[in-house]
Amino acid sequence: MGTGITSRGYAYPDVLVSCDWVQEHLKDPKVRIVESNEDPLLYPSNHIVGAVELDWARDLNDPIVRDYLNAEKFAATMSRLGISPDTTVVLYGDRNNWWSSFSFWILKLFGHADVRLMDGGRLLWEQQKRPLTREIPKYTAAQPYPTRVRDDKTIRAMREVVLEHVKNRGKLIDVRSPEEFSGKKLHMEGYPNEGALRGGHIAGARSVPWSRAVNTDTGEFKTAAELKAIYEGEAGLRSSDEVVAYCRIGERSSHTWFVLTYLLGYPNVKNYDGSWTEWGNLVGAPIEK
Amino acid sequence: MGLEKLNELTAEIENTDDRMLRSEILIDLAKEYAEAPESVAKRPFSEEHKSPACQSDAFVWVVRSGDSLTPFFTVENPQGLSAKALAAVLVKTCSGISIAEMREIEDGIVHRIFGPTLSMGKGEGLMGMIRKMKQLAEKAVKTEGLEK
Repeated sequence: MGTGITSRGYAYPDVLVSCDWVQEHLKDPKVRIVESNEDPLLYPSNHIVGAVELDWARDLNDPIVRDYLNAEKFAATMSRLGISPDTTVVLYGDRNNWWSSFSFWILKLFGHADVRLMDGGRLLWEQQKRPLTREIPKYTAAQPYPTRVRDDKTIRAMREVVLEHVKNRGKLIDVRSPEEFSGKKLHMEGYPNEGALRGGHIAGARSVPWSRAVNTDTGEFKTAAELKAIYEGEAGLRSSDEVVAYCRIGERSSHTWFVLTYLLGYPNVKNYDGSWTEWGNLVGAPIEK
Repeated sequence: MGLEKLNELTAEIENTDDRMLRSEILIDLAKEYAEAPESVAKRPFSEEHKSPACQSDAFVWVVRSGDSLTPFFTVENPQGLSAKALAAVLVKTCSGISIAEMREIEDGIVHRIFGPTLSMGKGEGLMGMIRKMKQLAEKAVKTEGLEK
């Protein structure tokens, strides 16, 4: 097992909880454990005892418009999962908490106060052979979830903001694979369109693939010193920078947004969820290869 | 041989309206998954066999025997249940088919199998497994002179 969370030098260590902490709080009525996965078959195959599922495609997106759910639907979703405004929501999932970071970001768009990630995600829980179940729990929220207007300005960047950011030579982190960043990988032979008409990256962006922030053996986040070496030493960021992170549709970059905001304590980080599927199709948008 | 098995299984899963029941079927199929034997491929696998859009690191091989083709898959991500389920479906139903039948397989069957709420990225990854299988099948018959 890696170093304890509190000794890793994070700016906001409370936002990460260990598998031990989760196991100790499985029956805590103030805590709701929520699984969010890339693979939709994982939760029904088994999950942490008492955990509910938050699925990106079904639960967090508007079914028609390319956008997230509105305030009413978010409130209804939270109530369905037994989450009240003062519930401590602990998210975990597959692939090094990739999608659970995305769910974390969405919960923050709607201003949920206490959201945390389980360090190591599903991978570490399974590695440590902790209990799993197929039983799907049902909860009732202790109090109705309020309808809150989604804040699309503080931690979310829309394309106009990104265009302005590029014009001002603001810092951008492209968290996709190096092949996507270079524009080498836009499509596979014979299948010319996998979501974008142009390959490459947003002008001025630096490449830091999202998964570099975790130890792949355990899924745990790297220490603050290791993260600084990557994001500051290699990518040239400073904590005072305004940073925009992006990927293909904004899920991988929400992981990097989490790392920069909570583990390194950067106060001005936004996730551009339009990401490459928007930018790579946008007429006249500045692109580099 | 033919695509009857694939069509039947696809229709059976597609017609399962209950999402949880469909998940159960797919989870059971994933349990049938077995990685490609060493006689087909040994690690480290060539990038040529990697399904390009699949986040679960699925590798694909197509072996020719006479005029029939058999696919094999290895899914490196232990938590890649959907990729394992699709691999099991394709191995179970497409082993021994001809190149003409292989060409008839549409990658869009992943939406019929996994349902309408499949995300774009996940759909691309799973379709990539089928595309790679078909691409390698074409290569196998070209190499062996079985184009027709």
